[in-house]
Formats: sequence, C-alpha cells, structure tokens
Amino acid sequence: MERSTIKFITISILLLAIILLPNIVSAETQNSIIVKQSNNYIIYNESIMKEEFTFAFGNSKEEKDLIYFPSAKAENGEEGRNVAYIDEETKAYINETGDTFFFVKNKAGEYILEGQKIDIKQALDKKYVEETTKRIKVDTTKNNVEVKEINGVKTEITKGKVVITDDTKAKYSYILIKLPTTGENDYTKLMNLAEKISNKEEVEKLELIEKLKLMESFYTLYKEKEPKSNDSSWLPVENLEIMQPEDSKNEEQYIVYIKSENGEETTIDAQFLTSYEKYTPIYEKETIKIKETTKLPVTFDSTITLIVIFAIIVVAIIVLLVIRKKVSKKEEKK
Amino acid sequence: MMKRICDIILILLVITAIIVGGIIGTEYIRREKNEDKLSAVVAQIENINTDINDKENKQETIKLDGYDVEGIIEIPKIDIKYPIVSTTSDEAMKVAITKFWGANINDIGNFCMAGHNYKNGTMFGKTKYLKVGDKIKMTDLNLNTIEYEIFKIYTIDPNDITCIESVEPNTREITLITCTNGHKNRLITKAREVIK
Repeated sequence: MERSTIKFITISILLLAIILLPNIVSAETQNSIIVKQSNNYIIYNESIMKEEFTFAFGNSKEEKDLIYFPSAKAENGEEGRNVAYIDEETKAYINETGDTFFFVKNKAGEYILEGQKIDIKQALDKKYVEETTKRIKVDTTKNNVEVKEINGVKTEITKGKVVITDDTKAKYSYILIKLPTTGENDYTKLMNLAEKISNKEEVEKLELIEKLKLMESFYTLYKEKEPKSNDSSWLPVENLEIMQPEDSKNEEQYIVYIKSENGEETTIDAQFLTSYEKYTPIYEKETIKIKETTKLPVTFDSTITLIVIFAIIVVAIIVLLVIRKKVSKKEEKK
Repeated sequence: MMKRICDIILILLVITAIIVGGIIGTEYIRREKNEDKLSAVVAQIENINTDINDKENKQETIKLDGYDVEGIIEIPKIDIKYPIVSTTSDEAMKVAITKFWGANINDIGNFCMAGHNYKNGTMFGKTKYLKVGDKIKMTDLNLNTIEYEIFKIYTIDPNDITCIESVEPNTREITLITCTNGHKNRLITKAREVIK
C-alpha cells in the first residue's frame, strides 16, 4: 500500500470520528431525564441507575475539583433504581445563569458520566402532565342536538361539545385546533402522545425510562404549542359550552385549549377530542287526530233567512199601508 | 185610534226593515272584500318560495285572518280558486274553505273540506253545478298540484258522517261538503286522484 493511500485512510477515519463523536455524546445526554418534584429534582439516567454512585455538578466539562454527593434510591414504585436527587443543598452547586455539567463516578471512583450538560429549567413536570385535561373540569360526554332540513328531510344532527363544569364564576375562553386528516404536524404528534399517555394500561407496561421519555416528549411539545394567555386567538366561551368544529366529520380529531381567568389566577388546560357526528332523519309520525265528529258543518247561506225576514217586513208594511188607507177612508166618511 | 196603531206598527216595521237591510248589505260587502282577500292569499301561495336552501326568503307559514293556510282548491268548471284553512269552525268558514277532516293536502287518504253554499255563487255556492267527471285541482304549500276527478255526488243527512271515510283505501281522495235544501241536508262531492 502506498504511503499516500495510508495517509488518506487515516485522515478519513479521523474525520469520521470527529463527525460521529458529538452524536455518541448526545446519545448519552438524551438518556438523562430531569424530573421536577416540588422544589427538588431527580436525575434519571439509564447508564447509572443499576449501581450506587456519586455525582457532582460543575461549571465546565473539564472541572475536576468537585464535591460529590451520594446517589439516592428511587421511590414510588421505582425502588432499586439509583438516581441523583437534587435537594436544596445540592441545588446550590447548579449554575443558574450559565451551563451546568453533570459528573458521575462509580464506587471505584471511575467516571461513568463525565461532564454531561444538563438544564434543570427544562425539567419534566410530571404533575403538570398528569393534571393536563383535568386542570379545568369539563364534561365531554354531552352532545349538541339541532334539527335542520337536509334535502327536504328534517334531520336531527348530533354533534359533540365540551361543557365546562368548573367554577362558573370564572371567565372562560378557548382556542380550537382542528387536526389535519392527512399528514402530520406538531398538533397531531401532540394528540398521539396524549393518546399514548391516557392509555394507562400500556403506560404501566413501559420501562421507567421509556415512561419518562414519553412524558417528557409530551411535556416539551405541549409547552411549545400551548398558547400564551395573552394570545389574540382566544375566543370567549358562551354558555359554558364549546361546540366541536362546524365542518368536522366523524372521527376527526381536534384540540381545545381552555383558559380560565378568575381574578389574578389564570389557568390553561387542553382537551384532546375526537369529533362525533350523527345524522338521524326524522320521520314525522302521522298523528291521527281522534276528533269526535257527530255532525257535518252547517254551511247554508244564513243571509237567506234575513232576506226572507226582510221580504216579510216589506209585505207587512205594504199590508199595513193598505189597512191604514182603508181606515183613513172610513174615518173621512164618518 | 186604529190609524194611530197602524202608524206605530208601520214605524216599527220600517225601522226593522232598515236594520235587517243594513245587516244584509254589510254581509254582502264583507263577502266582496273577503273575495279580494282570498285572491291575494292565493297569489301569495302561488309565489311562495319553495327553495329550502333560500332560508332568507323562505316563508314558513301563511296565515289568513289568524288561520293557518294549507293550500289551494281550484275548480275550473265553476271558476273558483280558494285557499284552504286548517280548521273548521263557524268563524273560519266565513273566511275561506276549511279542512274538515284528513291529514295533509294531497296525502294518501280522504281530505274533506267544507264551504258555505253562498247564493252569490262564491265559496261552494256553485258546487251544485258540478257533474261526475269534472276536475278539481289541489295545491299544497310546496306548490305540488294533484288533479282529482269527481266520481260521486250525493245528498246526505247532516248527522251522517260516513262521507269522511275513504271509498278506496290507499288512494288520494277529496270530499267537498256544503249545505243543500236550506240547512237540512248536505251535498257531498267526492273526487279521487287522476292517475296519469
């Protein structure tokens, strides 16, 4: 092999290593999930969970003179897992203004993680995820029924609606996002994640890290897509009811963001819904009126009677006039 | 003395004659005016908007003196064309031809109508001139017109209400009812749909 060829291969390998190195590092970074728990944080990382370890935080990747804390045992069904628990004391070592790097050593004092960049501001708020769709109480089982004439047929149209059953004193507004029927966007991704999370049976089957990853994906995307409270798209809720989109068809999906404002307190929640629509033609039942008909109506011309009376009166007047004339003659003779 | 009594009776009779004459005159004037009103309602029905999509101009119901109008009866032979109101009562019959029995105009079954036998020939005043085979047209508020042919004309007692029954089931029939022989009998004219 020529010298130039060996040189070329060496350079190529070096270049490949440079390109792939960040990916390898970031793959490790992805494995760390920070979960917010009240005012504290817990760091989960697949590669450090099996054995006890010590951990520290530094301001740079190269920092060596660090104070190490012992790992803690996870609780709440996560027993046996080792996690880095960040309490008030530990938190003091986290750089709130700049970058923070996470160092982990095994019992032998060897690095398992060496300067992994973390950001506790991006920590997963499990409680927030679990409370999503429940922060503002609603009833999504009610339907809206209206009757319209379609092609000459009276039809009962039943469509889904969201009825707010929360504090009725608050002011509510909403933003309705109809999901595309084809293709995928961030909202369809959010809907899919919400559906996965709501399937408790399936979630329970997941490994702890997988479960946290699912929640983290949902939380990150949810926070990214959640409308700001001062967004101009908020529409006022009337009669505590939000109708599903007028043009929505059965099984089409939509997300409704609901905002509640009660004095200083503003709450934003979301509902992940599937359109329901049912058309029922109304066949008007022929009601046979049971009318007691005992006689046919009187339809003769009543004025005929009056005309006859009028004629009799005229005849009577004539007769009287004749009598009067005779009486007058008799009186004259006398 | 006798002359005085005659004068008093005469004055009373003249006053009565004026009152009765006034009532008769008023009734005839009312009928004339009513005829104009009926023609206007017929024209209104004929110009009705039957386009269900044109909601802005769609007229839901047509009223005549507070009564719901159901359609039009037209008998070319005696040159009458009247709206039919949905209720039969003494007051309603003064206004128009009334539905006495049946479902809706041009529905399967017997649709019975009553009308006054006015001597001036209005309402059903000229139905006595109709013969078997003469045609009657019935138009509903969707402007669907069905032609009927008279197949039976007979006189019955007012207490005989058999005329409201269909002669043949599952066919469209109409029955015209009006007085005859004063108000002692009823002239019944029955017609059925002309199948083309």
